[in-house]
Amino acid sequence: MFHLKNIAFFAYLIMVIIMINDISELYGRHINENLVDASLLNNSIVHKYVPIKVNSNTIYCKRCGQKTPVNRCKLPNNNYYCPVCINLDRVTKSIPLVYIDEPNDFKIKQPVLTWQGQLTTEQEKCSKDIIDVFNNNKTHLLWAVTGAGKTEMLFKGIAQALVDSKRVCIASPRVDVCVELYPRIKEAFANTSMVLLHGRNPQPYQYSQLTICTTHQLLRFYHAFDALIIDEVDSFPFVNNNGLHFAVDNATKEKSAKLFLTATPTNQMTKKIKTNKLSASYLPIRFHRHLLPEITLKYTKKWRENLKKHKLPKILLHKIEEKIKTNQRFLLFVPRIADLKPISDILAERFDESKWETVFSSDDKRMEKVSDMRENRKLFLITTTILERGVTFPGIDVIVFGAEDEVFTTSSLVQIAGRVGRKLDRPTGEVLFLAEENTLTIKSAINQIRYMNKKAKKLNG
Amino acid sequence: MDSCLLCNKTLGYDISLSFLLSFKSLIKKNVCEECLSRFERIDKTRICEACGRQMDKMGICNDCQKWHRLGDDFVNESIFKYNDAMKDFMHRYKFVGDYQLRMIFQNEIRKKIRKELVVVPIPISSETKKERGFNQVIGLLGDVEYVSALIVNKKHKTRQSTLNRKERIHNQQVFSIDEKAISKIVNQNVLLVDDIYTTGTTIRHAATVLRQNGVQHVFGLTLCR
Ligand SMILES: [Zn+2]
Ligand SMILES: [Zn+2]
Ligand SMILES: [Zn+2]
Repeated sequence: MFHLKNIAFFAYLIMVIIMINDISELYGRHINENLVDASLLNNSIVHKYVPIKVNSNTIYCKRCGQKTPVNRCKLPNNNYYCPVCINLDRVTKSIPLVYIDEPNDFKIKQPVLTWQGQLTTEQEKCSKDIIDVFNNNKTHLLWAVTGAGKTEMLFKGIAQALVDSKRVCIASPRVDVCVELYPRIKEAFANTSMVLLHGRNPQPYQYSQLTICTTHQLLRFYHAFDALIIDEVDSFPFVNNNGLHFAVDNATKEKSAKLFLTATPTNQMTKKIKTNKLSASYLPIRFHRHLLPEITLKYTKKWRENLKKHKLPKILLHKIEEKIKTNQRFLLFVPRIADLKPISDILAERFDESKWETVFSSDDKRMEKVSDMRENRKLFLITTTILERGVTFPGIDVIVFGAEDEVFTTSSLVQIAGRVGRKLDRPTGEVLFLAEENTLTIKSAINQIRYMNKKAKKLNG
Repeated sequence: MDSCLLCNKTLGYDISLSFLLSFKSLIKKNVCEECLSRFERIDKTRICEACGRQMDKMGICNDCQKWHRLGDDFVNESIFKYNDAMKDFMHRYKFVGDYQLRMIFQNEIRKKIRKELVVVPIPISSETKKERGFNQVIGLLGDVEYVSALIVNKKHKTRQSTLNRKERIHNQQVFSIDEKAISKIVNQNVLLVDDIYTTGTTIRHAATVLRQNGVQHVFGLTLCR
């Protein structure tokens, strides 16, 4: 198996070396002129522009919308490049970007929607909102709790858009979310052309009606999409970043629908909803109609100092022992990569080491370890925040150790709690936070979950 | 606040008491500690005395013994090992063309510069220059003064088989001297700088051209080996 890093490395090479020689690859995409076969460039439908604008102290990149101080991006010979979006390949002042206006050149093959599931009454209501958003090119936020079944709610809206020959994109800041989403979308729209794009994917680009990509990859598009859905809009790294807004505007047509999905809206979003700058739908109840498991908070004073002395709090050890005895599967979240090994070492002195693995984001064996957990070869994983969203394991509990650490945002804590009770056969479970102290972040995670549960109770009557 | 050129994390300054007591000036960092720790310095107590590669003990490596048998006694020094971090760096700096990454190792190169040596960077072809927009070796030199004494020969289209042996060897020579620079290097000692030492052929080709044009002695310096 390749290292993930190598895959990224090869993806780079492919991006750099592959020449574009099919004209459809320029539909709604801007590409460095020197990567496009010369025979295509003579075509009158090909437009060109210079991507870098030089001001007195900064340059402005028209591909990513970011400014860079001149001293960081000046090349010899009075040339400039943009270092911000360079991992998509380099744009410079001396090489124009070329593109073709999106022609919506798609063959619609019926049936477009190949999904045959049922929606709950609440899902159906949101699904109708979404159809309306797409039909009328609105900008809208769907606030649905973890486990609400939001992907299914999208299907009818997407199907309608595809039938209308619209070009549709689902983007997420997180690669994991894209990878997890792709097979589900592919199954639901089996007759539609589809492409998955992210930095680690060596699959070459192909003009498709449906695109699933990371928000970063949106920067390659230019007024391409009629409907753009951003999943997990609150998650790293674009949150509160005008980079996301630029990417969204640049990738979509002037008249287009934008739908943002979240389980944990940021303050900025809730403010916009309150001031009527953003319309919103709420789905406070999970598809199985059970409430979200609420967070139990216990204090573990001076845990970090104790960990340095090779000690773990009793409450954590007891919990783990209990779960091992009852064969209860769980995830143990810790703040830092450096915490994984010492914790695992202490546990290994007391318990059977074969029961768990440690996982972090740049872990070469990350995919294997996740599938070990999924296929019941492991009882639990000790992990950093990487598994907070996207990945689901049925019937698990979660423990967050060091929940006060700043790596845990309100949104990530709510997402972590949301891993529990996803399936109908075990709609409940334990969410235990162990923390040095009660922080604002922890408080607001607890409150968000209570707020949604209050709304859900009303629905349940 | 500045961010790490390699991983984008925000950079803090080391203002610990021990640092303040060391009376070092606050050097502006470009790379975070974590990224920096992934690069591996060559341990100078056990290297090949000819090419500068890491070995188990001091000595002359097999490759260099071959060079010696051919009468070539070129001596090179390298600073870092060509490990995964360095491969990744070279890829991003040279092939993707992230020119600002040149700043990461400028200080390391500067420390190796000796006043009595004329610095000559290995040149790149005009096609590469056009595509990349910069010479990566000159980028590494920062504000160090240098003489562009070499130029890359245009690739000969002549088929090797039509040439006699002498012409063939001459045809393999990828560099030639820039006539305008001869006065600056004649009877001088030169430090020839490149980004990486792989087989050693490139830097030796360059050294030969310099010697043929009146340079007394040529030493090699590469960022990695
Ligand atoms: Zn840019
Ligand atoms: Zn870094
Ligand atoms: Zn050697």
